[in-house]
Order: sequence, then C-alpha cells, then structure tokens
Amino acid sequence: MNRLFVIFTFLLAGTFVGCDTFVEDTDLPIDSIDDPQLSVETQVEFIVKGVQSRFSTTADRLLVFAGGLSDEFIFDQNVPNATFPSFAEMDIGDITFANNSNDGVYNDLGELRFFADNLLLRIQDIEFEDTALRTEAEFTANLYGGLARYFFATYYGLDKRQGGGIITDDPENPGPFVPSDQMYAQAIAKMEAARALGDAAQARIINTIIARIHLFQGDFASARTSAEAGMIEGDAAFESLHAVDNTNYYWSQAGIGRNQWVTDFRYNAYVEADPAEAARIPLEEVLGNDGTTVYYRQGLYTARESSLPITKWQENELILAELDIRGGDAAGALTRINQVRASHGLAALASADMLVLMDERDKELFTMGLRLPDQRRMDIWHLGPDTWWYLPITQNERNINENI
Amino acid sequence: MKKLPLFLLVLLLSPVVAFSQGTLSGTISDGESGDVLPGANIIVVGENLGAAAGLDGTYSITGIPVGTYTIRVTFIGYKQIDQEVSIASGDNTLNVSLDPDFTGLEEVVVTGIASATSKARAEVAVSSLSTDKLLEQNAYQDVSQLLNGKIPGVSVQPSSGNVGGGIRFNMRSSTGLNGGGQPVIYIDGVRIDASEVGGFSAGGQDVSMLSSINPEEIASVEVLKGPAGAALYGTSGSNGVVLITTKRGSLSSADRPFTINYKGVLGTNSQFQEYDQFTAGTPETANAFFRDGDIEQHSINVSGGSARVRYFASYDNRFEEGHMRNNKLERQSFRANFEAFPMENLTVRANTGYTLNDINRPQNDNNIFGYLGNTLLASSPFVFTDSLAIEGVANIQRISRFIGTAEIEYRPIENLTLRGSIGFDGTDLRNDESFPSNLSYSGRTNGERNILNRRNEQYTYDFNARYAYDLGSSGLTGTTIIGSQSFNRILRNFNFTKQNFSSELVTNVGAGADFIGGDEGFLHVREAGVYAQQEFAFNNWLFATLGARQDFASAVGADAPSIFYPKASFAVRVDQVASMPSFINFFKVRAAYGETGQLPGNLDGSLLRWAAEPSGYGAGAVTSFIGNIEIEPERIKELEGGIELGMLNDRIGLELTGYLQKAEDSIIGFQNAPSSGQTASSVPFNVGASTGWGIESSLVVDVVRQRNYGVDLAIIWNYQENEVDDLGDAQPIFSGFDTNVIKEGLPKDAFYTWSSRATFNDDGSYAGAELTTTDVDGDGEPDRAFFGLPYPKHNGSVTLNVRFLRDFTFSGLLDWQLGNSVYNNTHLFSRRFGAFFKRNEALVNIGQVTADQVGLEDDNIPVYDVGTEDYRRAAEVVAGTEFSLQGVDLDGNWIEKADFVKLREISVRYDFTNLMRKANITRYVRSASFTLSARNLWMSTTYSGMDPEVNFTGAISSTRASDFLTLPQPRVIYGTLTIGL
Repeated sequence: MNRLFVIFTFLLAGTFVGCDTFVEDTDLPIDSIDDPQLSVETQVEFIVKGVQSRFSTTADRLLVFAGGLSDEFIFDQNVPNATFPSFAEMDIGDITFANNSNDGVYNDLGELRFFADNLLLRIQDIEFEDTALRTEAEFTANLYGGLARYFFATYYGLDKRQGGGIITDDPENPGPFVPSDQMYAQAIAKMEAARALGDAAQARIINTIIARIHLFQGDFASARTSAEAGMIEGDAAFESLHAVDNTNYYWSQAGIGRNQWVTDFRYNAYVEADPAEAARIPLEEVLGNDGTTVYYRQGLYTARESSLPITKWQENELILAELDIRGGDAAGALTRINQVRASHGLAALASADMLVLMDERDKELFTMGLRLPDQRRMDIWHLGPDTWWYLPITQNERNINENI
Repeated sequence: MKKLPLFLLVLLLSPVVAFSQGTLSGTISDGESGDVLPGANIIVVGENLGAAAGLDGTYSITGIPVGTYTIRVTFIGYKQIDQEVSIASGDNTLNVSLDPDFTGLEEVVVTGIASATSKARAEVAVSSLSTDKLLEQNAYQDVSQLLNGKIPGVSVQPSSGNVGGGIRFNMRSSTGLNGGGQPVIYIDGVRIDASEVGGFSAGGQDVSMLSSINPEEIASVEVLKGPAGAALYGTSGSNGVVLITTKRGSLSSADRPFTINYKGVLGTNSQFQEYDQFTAGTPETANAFFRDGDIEQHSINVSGGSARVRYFASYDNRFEEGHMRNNKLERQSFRANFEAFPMENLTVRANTGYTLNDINRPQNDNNIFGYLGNTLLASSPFVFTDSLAIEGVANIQRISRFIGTAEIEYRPIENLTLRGSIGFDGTDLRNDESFPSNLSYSGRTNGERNILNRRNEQYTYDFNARYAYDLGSSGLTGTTIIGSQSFNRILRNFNFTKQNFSSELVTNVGAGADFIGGDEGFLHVREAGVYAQQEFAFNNWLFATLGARQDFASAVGADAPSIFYPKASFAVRVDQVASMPSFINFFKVRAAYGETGQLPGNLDGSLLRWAAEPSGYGAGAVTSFIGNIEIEPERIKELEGGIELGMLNDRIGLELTGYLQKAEDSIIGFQNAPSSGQTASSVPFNVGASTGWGIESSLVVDVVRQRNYGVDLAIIWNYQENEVDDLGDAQPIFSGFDTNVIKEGLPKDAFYTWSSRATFNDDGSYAGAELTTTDVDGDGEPDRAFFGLPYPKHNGSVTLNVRFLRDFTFSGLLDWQLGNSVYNNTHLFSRRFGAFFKRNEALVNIGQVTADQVGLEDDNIPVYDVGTEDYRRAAEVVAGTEFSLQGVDLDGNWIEKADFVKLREISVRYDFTNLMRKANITRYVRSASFTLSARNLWMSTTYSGMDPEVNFTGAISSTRASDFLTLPQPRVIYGTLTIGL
C-alpha cells in the first residue's frame, strides 16, 4: 500500500505546482486570429475580400431599406410572411431609433468604413514585394471607404430632415456628426484617390458615382464633368456580389426568399402599360392573406447569390440626360433616354422632359436605392411632413456617442 | 518437516478460532411508531462487516470476532445510532429503535469540496434533498421538476412547456453580473455540461443538457448556494454549486441477496388552459394543435451488496409526448455504480451512466413557422405558414451522453484519508432539421435539410488529502484538508445546410442540390486550482473553518489569470453551552464568508480578432471579437449568517439564513459606438459592481406521527434583492430585445423602457397617447422608466404530506412567486396584427371604430359617453396598447405583473406492502404501491397571458421573462406503479 501513498502524494504535489502550465496548454481557436497576424503581405488579399464582403452585406440592406422608406416598396401585413415591425416603421417613415433592422445595417456600415480605413493604415506597415497587390489594396480601401461615406450621406440622418453620418476613429471619443455635404466631400476625396489607382473602366465607374453625388447636391456643372468621364455603353455594371451564404437581401426579404417587401403597385402598372417593361422590371405575383389582393414582388434577384448593381452605364446616361434637360437640351436628353431604353429592347420615346426623365429613372434604376434621394431632391415625398427622409442614426450610437 | 509444528499449532487452535466469532442479530424499528424498518443498515465500525434489515426488520451479521465494537445503525430519514456492543462467541442480540430525523440534522451534507459533516455541525447553509420519498410519489421528467420548490434560496424553472426544454436555476439574489446566474453542477464528482444547445432554431427554445439527466438515478442533491459555501470550488462557482449523487448499492439483507425495483408510469400531458378571444386571434384553431400527449416510463434497477462490494444497476426508458404536436422525448438511461472495499482502509468506486435522449422540438416562439405564431396573432390563421407545412417541420436533437467517475479513497493511517477521482462527461449531440420539399416555406427553396453535430468532452480531476487529529486533551480537534482540482473542456461542433430537394421522399443531405451553408467551431479551456482548509471543532459546540483556493484558467492571447479566493466560517451550538427553554432541543448560530468568481470569456484577454466571412468575393477578413488584455475574473464576496432551531424534540425545525453578496470587477461589455466600426463584440472591462441580499427560510413541522396517521409540513420562503452599483460610466446594457437592462441604480435585468397614457381634449374626448415620461435628463430623448423585475422578490413553497389509514399518503406542493413581471410580446404582436381583443373593444368603447370594423361579432359592446369614467378608462386602454411613439418602443405598455401561485405537485399513493404482508406474499413480492399524481393542476396569477414562467429566448438568456408565442407548461396527470422484488 505504500505505492498508493506515493502515487497520491506525487499526484497531489504535481497538481500543486503544475496548475499554470496545465491551463496554458490548450489548443487555439480555429475560427479567428489576432489582429497582428493579418499585417503581412500574404494576408492582404484576405483583408481586401473582407472589405468587399462587408460592402455586400451593407449595400443590399441599405438599398432595400431605402426602397422601403421611399415609394418604391411597400410593407403590408396582408402579404404572406410580412411580419417585421421594423420594416413597417420604415414603410411609414415613423422609425424608432432602436429599430433593430436599421441597427444591424448601421453597424455594418460602420464596419465597412472601419475595414476600409483600417486596410489603408495597415498597408503602410507592410513591406510589399508585389506592388500590384499594394495598389489593389489601396484602391479597394479608398473606393469602399468612399462608398461607405456616400452611404452615410445618402441614407442616414441625425433627425428627420438632416442627412449625414458619423465617423469615429477613436472609440473612446466618438463622433461628431458630419452633415451630408461634408460627408459627400469626404466620399469624393476617397473615390478620387481610388480613381488615381484604378484602370480606365474603374475610373469611369468612380466618375459615375461622383457624378451621382454632384447631382444629389445640385452641383450640375460638376455632375456633368464627372458623368462625361463616366461609364459608357458596354461597361459592366459595378455590383455588389453575393453568395449562397452571403445572401442578396432583396432575395431574402423582398423577393422569392421572403415577401416582406413588395413593389409599389405602379411598377405593375408600368408593365401592364408596356409589357416590354418586364425586361427591366420583372415582377412576380403574390396573393395576399385576404385571398383577393394581388401584390407584386421584384423578380430581378431570383437567387441567393444574385448580384446587385450599384451603378451602371444606363445611370450615367440618365444623369447626363437630366443635365441636358436642365440645360435646355431636350433632344440630347431624348437620345440618351432612348439609348438606355434600347438596351432593354424598349421602344423609343418621342419626347423627353423632366417628368419623363424621372419616370425613366424610376424604372431603370429600380432597386438601386436611388428613388429615395430622387424623391428628396425632386420634392416628390410621398409621406407626411413629420416622417423620416433618412434612416435614423441608431439608438446605440445615440446612447454611446456624447458628441452628437 | 520444519513446517509441521506450525501446522499442528494451527490445527490445535482452529476450534478456538471458530469459537472466537460471534453473530449479531436483532430487529430495527421506528422508535415512535414501532414499525419495522426494512432496508435499514447496520455495520460494525472498523470491520468490513454489516447487513441490512429484511422485510420483517430483522438482520443478522455473522463472523464477528469476539470483542467490543461500535455498531452503527443508519436509515434515511432517521437519526444515526452509534452503540457500543460486546460480541461474545455464539449468538448475540441487539434490537435497535431509530428516532426519526424530522429536521435532517443528522444528515451528512457536503460543506465544501472535500469536507462533509452533519447538518447539525455545518457552518454554511447547505440544502440537501434526498429523493427517496419524492420519487415514491412522483415521476419527474427532469431535474428542474425534481428540485423546484424544495430548496430554500433556489428556484428552478423551465422556459416553456416544451418536453425537454431549457432549465434555469435562480440562485439566491444572483448578484454577479457574469456567468448567466447559473451554478456549476457536479454529478458524482464530475463537473457536467449544463449548457443549453439551440442547434437549428425552433423559434427560441433550446435543449438543456440537463434534460439527459434522469431523476430516477439520483439519490440526493446538495446545493451550496453562494460563495460563502462554494469558495473552495473556486472560479465559476460564484452562482453556487449543485452536487448530485447517484444511487449506490446498499447492503443486502439475509432474506434477499439483492433487490429489484420496478417503476412504471402512464400519463398524459394536456393543455393547462385553453386560448380564448382575450389571448388568441383564432383561439379554436390554436387549441386544435394541442393534444393529450402520452407519457410512458419503465424503470428497473437491481442493487445489493455485501460488506466488500456493493452495486447498483438500472435501466430507464421514458417516452413522453408534449401537449403540442411535434414535441416528444424518448430517453433511455443506463447506470451501473460499484463500490468495493478490498481492504479496511481502501475504497474503490466507479459510477457510470449512459443516456440516449431524442427530443423533437415544435416550432414556436419568434418564428413564422410556429404553431402559436400562426394562430394567436391575426384574426385569420396561418398568415405566415400553412398548417400542413408547420406540421411538416421536423427538428430532432439526438443526444448520447456518458458520465463516469473512477474514485479511490485510501486511508494509510488512522484519520488520514487520501482521495482521488477522475471524471468524464462526454456528450454527442446531433440536431437534424428538415423542411420537406413538397411543402412551402419562406426562405426555403424546395425543402431544406440542416445537420449539426456537437461533441463536448469534460474531464474533472480531483485529488485531496484530509487529516483529522486531536489538539491536546482540551476537546479541541482539527482537520486539515489540502487538494487540487482541474478541469479540461473540449467542444467541437459542425453544421451543414442544403436546400432544393427534388423529392420529399429522399431527404439525405446529399440529395439537396443547393449548398446553403456550413461551419465548425472549436473551444478548448482549462481551469485548475489548489486549495487548503483548516477546520477546528471544540467540544462539539464550537466549529470554525479557514480556507483558501488559488485558481488558474486558460485565456487565449494572454497569460493564465491567477485568482485567490479566501473563506472563513464558524458555528456555535448554543444549546450545548447555554440554558434553553425546554421546548428547544437544538439551537445553532452560524456565519460564513467566502469569495468566488466568474472567469472572463476565453477570448476576452485578446485584443482585436478577425474571422473569415464568406461572400461573393470569396472569404474575407472581418472582425469577430474585441477584447481587453487587462481583463480579470469577476469576484463575488458573500457574507451569510443564520440560525437553525430544533424544537419539541426536533418535531419543528426552523432555518433562517440572511446573506449579503457583493460583486466586484464584474466584466462589463462596453459597446463601442457603431460609427467606430468596432462592434463585432462589446469590449470587456472590469468595472462593474453590484450588491445583492436576501433572506431564505424553511420551516419543517412534523405535526402528527402515529402508526396509522402522519402529517408533516414544510414551508420555504425566500426574499431577494439586488442592485447594480457601478458600470464604470458604461452606458446601460440592454438585452437583444431592448427591454431588460443592466443599469446603475436598478436591479439586474430590470425592465427599463417606455410606456404611454391617454390625453384628453377639453370636452373629455380622447386626444391621443402621450409618453408617460419626458426628457428630464436632457439628453434629447424621452427618459425610460423602470417597469419591474423579470424574476420574483418573494418566492416559496408549501409541501404537505399526509399519511392516513396507514398505507395512504397524500402529498402536495404549492409554490408561488411575487414581485415579478412578464413582457407580453404575444399581446403586443396581436395588437400589431389588429387582433388584440382588449384594444379593439376599447376602440369601440370610445367610438373610434365600430365592432364590425375591428372584426368583433359582439354587437353589445357599449359605446361610452365622452367624459364618463368608463370612457376615460377605455381611452387609457387604447393609449396603453400603443406600441411606438415619438421614435421609441412602448414596451412598457406590455409589461405586466406576473405574481402567481401554482399547485405544482399533488399525489395520492397507496402502499400495498402491509396488505401483502398480511397475505403472506412478501416472500415473492417485497413491496408494491400505486400513485396517482398530477402536476400544474391549478394556478392563480395576475398575468393575463397563459403562463407567467416562460421566456421566448430560452432559459439562459439576457432577455428574460418575455412571453412571445411561447408554449405554456402542460397539466400532467399520471399513475405510477412500483414493485419491489
């Protein structure tokens, strides 16, 4: 039995002295890494894709919510599976600060801005052997950093009528609020930096987006300058890319995945008036819970991984068409509008004015999140005077940020 | 030839040896009633000799060497007797009468990690529950049913009426802000996995790993309720420790070398209360989904043993259908426990249990595929999902679990005990979820198949030495304990999802055309601690203990944190040193102080961490966690004091304990401003502090105890409060649904939100709703207000046992909660969908709509005159059923007081044993009984919903007491037949 005593004593003594080494001898997590491990050239592509991934999860939701707040999409509990109160709030422009759908996308937008800016800072510390990789990373950081700022300026507001966003570099001292004009200026500066690094096609995409911003701001001269260097027919659309496990939000909440949002009835009227419009406004019928009302959901994004256009050459042409009309060149505008229509096999129009142009924008830029700023700038707001023109900066931001 | 003298010597002395042994026999009986006590144990202390009393109460121990011994007689529920007996060669007789231990003072309870003593000497408030009587009267589904209402300071609640659902322990005031308020649970020395596993969501209800613990296997449960008692269990023990001991073999009696016990149960789960127009949009359709779910259980065990070996083996099969379709549990439990005493100073134990547990979960709670979601909210059913499709969803968790310990106890010298044990808890869980392809589901294209595998391994290593000794002749004795305890956990999980199945008949995951998602997780954590404890006892009236533990824990990205926890306690048997009124036979005062803690999360000590997120661009780096390299464990300090009284010869026992808990360095997650882009997680800081205090009491009264009649009564009353003192200037921390808060100056998890009330025009007509608060703090937004607690301030129970006509036993348990509230999100959503009767009626009352307009068929709903009291009251209902105003959610309008009292358990049992004795058939059948039992038979509550105990996000969640389309608990009625062979 002495052996037992020795074993006991040995085990007891061993555990007394070995506690700290015992607890440190564990396997590391397999699903995450420490920040410094990313600061090497071999991980740059991984970071770049992270910025793009966050862009995709931000862009699709913002565009759906912008459509819901505008007169593009409607939320009606008579539509099967339309249940989210947060969407109902957006539809009527009476949005609580704690609206959790908005909360999620606002967080993602903050991350998109941070990821992009963080990439820009991180590449300063990396010694690149592959200079093309560095250029790609710098381009990505500036482009998406610019787009994040554009999203803030276009879709967020401190109050119902004051657009803008917040950029916080020091989490312990967040804020302050940056009004839309200043935020747009930051967006343009970033995108111009990206433009300097991109190829010709990328430069044209950036010019179209910059032209869009100038148009929103009413700076028509600058808009023309940018748009004239913008996308041209044949250019591929600039898109948000999605995957089966990073689903297009239109598919999941405003489409075949779930019918929470359906299109305003006027889109079906467009198609009924000219069935050829189905080429650019594909719709699918949805029967309401009451068994009688027929609703129409968008049919553009029929798969989880459907790509979502952020801008396309047709938008550039319509920007120029609008500028033509504003400059008194209706004929020039008509040519551009018909060029756009022809790309979908639609018959040419006989004349063009601002009303025609806005109709064309409504149809051509369907689901691109542009109806909301168009309604604001063209003074065609569809809701009451005390409603939100923007998605509100969220309760969480307001709780934490003492500088707003 | 040299061996011959020795051989002759042995031969010559052998008759002497034979004649120098004696036999001890006699009868063991109840000292009050005179009833014999079959199964009572009698052992010869210091010898591996003993026996159990047979059916007639007699025993016989043979082969006792002649001499003087201490004979120890024990039986559950009776005071132990140690009696000195001289054994002469041949026959010796000893008849023993045991006095009932009404108040449990003689019971040996665990008072720390390596210390156990009788309750009469315990320096901390330890609650002990012996399952013997309870399992005679009841057949519990899980440990929550076994424990609830029976332990002062502790309540154990399910989060829904799901069979196999989540279980939440509410331990004292749950002062700590970390650890989810849940205790650490050990079974036979193994720290077990008590997680809730959601797998693929069925709407909110997860499955507790405790659902795989079969109550029929449990012999006793001891609960150390806070740091004062649990300090030596160290980190993670701040919310108390629950120690479960499974059944062991006992000494066989002369007439039966082993015993066989069978228990069979048949019963039903049924709807406690039907939905009506006040609680459902389509009550008839909702009620149609409920059913009388079958309960069938068969349990058999074999046990026995000698002075050298004891064994217990059991098999149990419980099949239980819930009272809602698609809810079912089928659990098979196997247990084999062995104890061997190969030498007088060596004990070897092996406890093993294996469980197969299949649980089907119904779709409910926050879920468009839910039975209740499709029938309670709108005025027409199935607005989200067709009824066939709801029924078609199958969500099954299949759990196989092994829990085992190997333990050795060695006493190399007198009073020194060395003990070592190694325990393992391994759980394999597989969650299958299927949406058939021939039915329509939002977001599922041609069906969906989900598979989750979760494997959890936990190892517990425990080594300690205990040495007891006298300190001189003054009556002072000491006991020194040193030991170490280590814990190692490895958790792996994997999930996979596919959609687009061509046929609902072929459903293997490979038959799905579309990959939807897949991922895996891995966690490896270790904890280790060393401890020492010094106990003193002086002349059986003064007891004192000092102890300490040093803990270490693993942390990714940081050095292992090391934490020191002290403890001290004392108890004085006042009745031993001061004169007491004659009716007081026992009076103990005790006080204890202890510290424990809660570990930071495994990653909390790292800085910024990045994970991979799949996207259309490929997998990219996204932030996944933001930590703090300076993070330390939360520390909880507890001071408790109490008195215990035994009166009228222990016929009345009173226990009163008060405690004060202080949490320091609580880990508070600071949410960065979203504009920083660093919101992947909150950032942990040791800035939190909170205080909790409470009183827990129990009164046990043995009212009458006669041969044919007996009445005993137990009352438990608990009062608890807590308050968050400091968050280090952090913003309040809200639960996911923005209703429960951790905020300075408020109780933990308090409801903190907004509400509205009516405003009136000059003529008395309704002018709309206004917020009940304004912007007093000047932050530009209306202020929130406190709307109550998601847990009770007062709770307790009354247990009554009545034995009558000798063989009938009636037993009842009534429990209650006072001071708690529930957020009725079901009513809120019903109002959103226009089907909330109370609001619609009020709208008619104030003339805003007609009954037809809101779908009410009753033409007799009155329209009140403007300005009348009825009108104003109806207007307040209209205003108080709004859900948003001025940019804030009016959740406060939907938070209700939810006090309740429930008749939780009631049973009547008839014991056939005496009848069988008279019929002289006990030689074939040792015992038999039949019990008719019911659970949740009656409830009275202030809550307007169906069940004030449920929570739609499961049992262990920061969102608490939120009823959102959650399945209420069923009424259970069943009969139990027991047969002993």
